[in-house]
Amino acid sequence: MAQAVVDVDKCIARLESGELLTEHEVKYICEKVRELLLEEANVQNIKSPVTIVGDVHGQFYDVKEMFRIGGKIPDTNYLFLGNYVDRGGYSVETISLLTCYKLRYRGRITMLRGNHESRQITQIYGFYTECMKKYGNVNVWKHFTGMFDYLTVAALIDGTVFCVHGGLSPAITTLDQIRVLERFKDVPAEGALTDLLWSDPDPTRETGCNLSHRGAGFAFGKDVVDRFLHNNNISLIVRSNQLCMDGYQSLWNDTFITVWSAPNYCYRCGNLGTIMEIDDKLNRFFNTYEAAPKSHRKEKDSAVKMDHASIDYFMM
Amino acid sequence: MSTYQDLLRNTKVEDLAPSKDQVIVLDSKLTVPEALKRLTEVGVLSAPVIDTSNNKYVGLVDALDILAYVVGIFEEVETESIQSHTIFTRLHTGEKFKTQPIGEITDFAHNPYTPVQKGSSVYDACKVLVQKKSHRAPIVDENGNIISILTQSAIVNMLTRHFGCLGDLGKKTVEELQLGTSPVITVAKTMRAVDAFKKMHESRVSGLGVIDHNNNLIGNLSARDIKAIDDANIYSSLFTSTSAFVQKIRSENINETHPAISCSESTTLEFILGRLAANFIHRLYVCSKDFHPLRVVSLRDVLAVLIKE
Repeated sequence: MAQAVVDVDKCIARLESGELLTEHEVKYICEKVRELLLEEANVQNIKSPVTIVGDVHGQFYDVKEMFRIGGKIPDTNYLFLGNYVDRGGYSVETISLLTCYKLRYRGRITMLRGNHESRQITQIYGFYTECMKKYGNVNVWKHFTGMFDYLTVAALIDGTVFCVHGGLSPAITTLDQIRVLERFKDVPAEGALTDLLWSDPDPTRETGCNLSHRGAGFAFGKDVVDRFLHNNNISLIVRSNQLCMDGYQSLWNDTFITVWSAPNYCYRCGNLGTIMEIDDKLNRFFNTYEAAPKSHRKEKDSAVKMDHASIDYFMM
Repeated sequence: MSTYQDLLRNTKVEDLAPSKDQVIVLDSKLTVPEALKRLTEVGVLSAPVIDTSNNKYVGLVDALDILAYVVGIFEEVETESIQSHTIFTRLHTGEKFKTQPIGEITDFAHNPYTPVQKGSSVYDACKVLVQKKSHRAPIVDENGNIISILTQSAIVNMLTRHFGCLGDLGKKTVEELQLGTSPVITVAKTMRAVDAFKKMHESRVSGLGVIDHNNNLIGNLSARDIKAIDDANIYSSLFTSTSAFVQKIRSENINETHPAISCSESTTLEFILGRLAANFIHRLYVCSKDFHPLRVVSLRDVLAVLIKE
């Protein structure tokens, strides 16, 4: 257990000004948030109004931009669809801030698990490397990935809007099947839990599921969505997982929506980011925004640390 | 509906291979980096090499040959004494790589050469590929000239297009069929990429698993990943850790795929064929529930099951 109690408000203030938390603070917030997450159901019930945020992938300055546009926590309720880390270069700041928000305003922010919230994926797509560079050891990565095992996998807004990171599974036809899944472990290579986090819609398919090009999850057609909506008496599925140039994409008569919140993805795709605002009458508004200006990013610090790390690898 | 045996016996090798004018041919004078770029552009792993001065066929080259060459030049460098290991040695090695004509390295990996006659059946080609442990069968005409190349992948792709042709065999699991080989050849993610490629070459495989400190599978390194070597800077490309090397390759792709596509011991043959085809991969790792690699199933392993009497 952590030795001293941590002041979460001070942590939030420091993170918002661009500082990192200490290893001890990371350990504390992860332990505390794990306790909260244990109480959340696999399909977490949420009441509108709520703003849905898609993949952010460590783009910390764009996340700050997003909060400026969508409103601060706790004034606005948020539902994040996962993929907080990897690729963006500021995964540590991003996940630290969101975890602090969860600890401080537990009822105002729900965080789903994305396919990147996994030990395997983060060792290949950047989060592990970033933790090593910024902290010099593997502990912070361990604390966060340990916390990821507790993140819930789906949310249901007002009993009618189903939210998940990836998509549907051939093994799942009812919400109850999701409710009984054992989720407190790393994302497996196959199975229902994996499908929920990795699957994509196939707009060219009318029927059935196909193997996904991603190597995990499935590519499912319109009839799978229609059946899921019908069986569970829900009106809409909202998810992320796929880049959208306009920041969002709507399929199949607005019954299936992808929200993407990482503008100019990988700092080169030139796409917009969007958050989906749902009011208390379940009206939808897509709030679209561009990437934060480059000048906002603290590139200098990371650059120094990167050189140091690559010297370790550059063996004579 | 035909069975897979019918399908294999009734399909001619040339039906599954690109036509003569679609086959990519490399000029023997192209440098290794240029050849790699060309192969990557077209999306193939191997090509016949022609000496354009006399239009003579020189040999087949593939990623394993280039891998063997790269491992060779680094070995040369590392066996030199420390005193002579200067920045000039490195510049020289870098230059060597950049200027090496592809025509001289066509047989570096000593890949088996397994041609099949035009008109022969895919079934016969499978037998040859499996027995000789070859990845591809050049299709030759009556005069012995290569007119196309049939790959293992093309055969697996065909089978996945005929859903159900595997019948009961398709429903059998990895465990039931004892599919694949073990132990899995792996490298620690911290190993230098050049040493990982060396291990790949010495083990005579075209792919290895990348594992973390808990012996969990986190990625795959293929011979074809050699194309990611930055020819302007081969030392810094190859002297990074394997995980950094794999990370760099994957960061090029916006739509990511799972870095270590795997299955379990209870996965069926049908599903495995589908995965191999859908993801354009040449091997699938069989892992335990905690991601420890148990076996590896290659294209060859799958074809071997299909031609077993």
